[in-house]
Amino acid sequence: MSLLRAWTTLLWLSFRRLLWSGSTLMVLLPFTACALFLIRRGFWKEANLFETFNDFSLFMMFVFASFVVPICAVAYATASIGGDREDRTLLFLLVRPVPRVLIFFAKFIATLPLVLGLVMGAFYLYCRLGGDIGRAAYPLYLPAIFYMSIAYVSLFHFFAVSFRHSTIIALIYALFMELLLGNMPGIVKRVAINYYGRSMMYAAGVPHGLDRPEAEWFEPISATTAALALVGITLAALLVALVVFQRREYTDLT
Amino acid sequence: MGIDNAHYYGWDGKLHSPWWATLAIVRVALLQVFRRKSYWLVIALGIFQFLVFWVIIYALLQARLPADAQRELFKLFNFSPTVEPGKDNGYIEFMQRQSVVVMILLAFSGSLLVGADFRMKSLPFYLSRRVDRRHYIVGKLMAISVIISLLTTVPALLLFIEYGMLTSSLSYWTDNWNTVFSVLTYGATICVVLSIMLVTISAYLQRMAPIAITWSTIFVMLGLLAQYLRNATGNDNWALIDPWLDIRLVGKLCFGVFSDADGMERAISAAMILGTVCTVCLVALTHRVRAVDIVE
Repeated sequence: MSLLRAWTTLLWLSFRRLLWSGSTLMVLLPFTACALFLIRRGFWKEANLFETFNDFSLFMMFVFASFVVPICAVAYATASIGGDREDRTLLFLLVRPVPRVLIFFAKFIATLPLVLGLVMGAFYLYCRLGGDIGRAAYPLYLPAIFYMSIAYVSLFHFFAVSFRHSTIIALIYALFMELLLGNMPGIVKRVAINYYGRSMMYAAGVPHGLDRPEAEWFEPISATTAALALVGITLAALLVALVVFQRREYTDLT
Repeated sequence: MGIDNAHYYGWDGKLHSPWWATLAIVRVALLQVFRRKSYWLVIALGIFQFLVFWVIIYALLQARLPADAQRELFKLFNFSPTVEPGKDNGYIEFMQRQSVVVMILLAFSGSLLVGADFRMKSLPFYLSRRVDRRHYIVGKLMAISVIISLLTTVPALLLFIEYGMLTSSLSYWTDNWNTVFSVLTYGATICVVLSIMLVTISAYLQRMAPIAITWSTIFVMLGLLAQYLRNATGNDNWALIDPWLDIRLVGKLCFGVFSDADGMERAISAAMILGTVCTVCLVALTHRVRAVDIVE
């Protein structure tokens, strides 16, 4: 019973620390920029539904899913354990009689509702701002956005437990590797989470008017395979992060 | 121990100007950046791009191809050693390609070089000496400018020198002397704008994650949105919300390569946008840099 209380206290404390942080304020910046863009763009006014759906989908794919989702995940997922490492308060957690597995899961579960809440909430709002086109796109792209979000959160938790400067590594991955590799020809782009999310979005959007990508630049895999790949990345990253966190001695904390 | 027992004594020699302290701030800042292994990962990405261009120039000039074939091959690598009508020279293009690396490196450096001074309360130690807020701000701006120059202006000039050295006479350097001028002015614009914005953002946000999020939103996301808005509305002025484009246009104002009449007008608009942003940032920064935190 006391272990459960300790765990829920840690979960609540981590959640509150992440919520009331500078990152929350700054993460609202890209979300607001996207909302302003959608208001100015006025997708609801357009007459050509097929072309508008294509434009809306490209915005969702290349701005929201490729930039805003990973940035939101970086803000919280690297800060949950990385923040404690940076402030050297992780030591005080590790000396408590709470198993490391529970500490890790408390941090992970504290992060998930923040990232998913912000990303899913913003996605819903943007689809409402898109009018009829947005309402049509919402159920189509929701699974891709959801799977991408949890995959990023897991991967960045792995970075946080493995590297001292995890924010740097996560940002290089999100801004450089994903953007660079995700737009390269060939199969090299399959190392990027973004590729699987985009594949799911193409599979859902092409029958409704989204232009098929040029085969030499982007060859999507099926939606089921992409979803399985994202779930696989999520579980694998979680498992490896758990093993690393369980076994690692954090000598940089003292 | 009383201060009298510590044998402190006054300095009788002639004091240097406190402006010399800015050089010490630059030196310490560079040491802080270059001793971090993780920062070298980003620097290595920038150096890699420079080496690629170095090898391309070397290989193509050594191949002794006809001039037309050589020009076409350079075009294949998006590099033009001379100014072509309506286009920038390859050195400017190289500096623009370095922008991603510069952006990432600065996103991390801001917290280390400026944010930490506020977070760890070390700013009063700077300001308790003869260094006042002007010297502190100029020192930090110079430090960040040096880091930017090491990744943009210096490698671009090295490529220019390499190209000239691999030709058979001095004519490449003498015919294209204005290339050096264009590289220096473009480099100076990048340094001034980025350093002012970074120091201000870092002074307020302090931690790496919020700085990096804000920095990448400004320099990546605004560029993407500008592109979408321009395509959707057909209004080229929307492109001016992209700070990289504004910097490029202001750089062009100094060496004047405009393909149409509208280009100059847009460059002036870009200069006004950047001027306003930098002024607001400087005012905010001056307000933020003070020896004592005001606690409510």
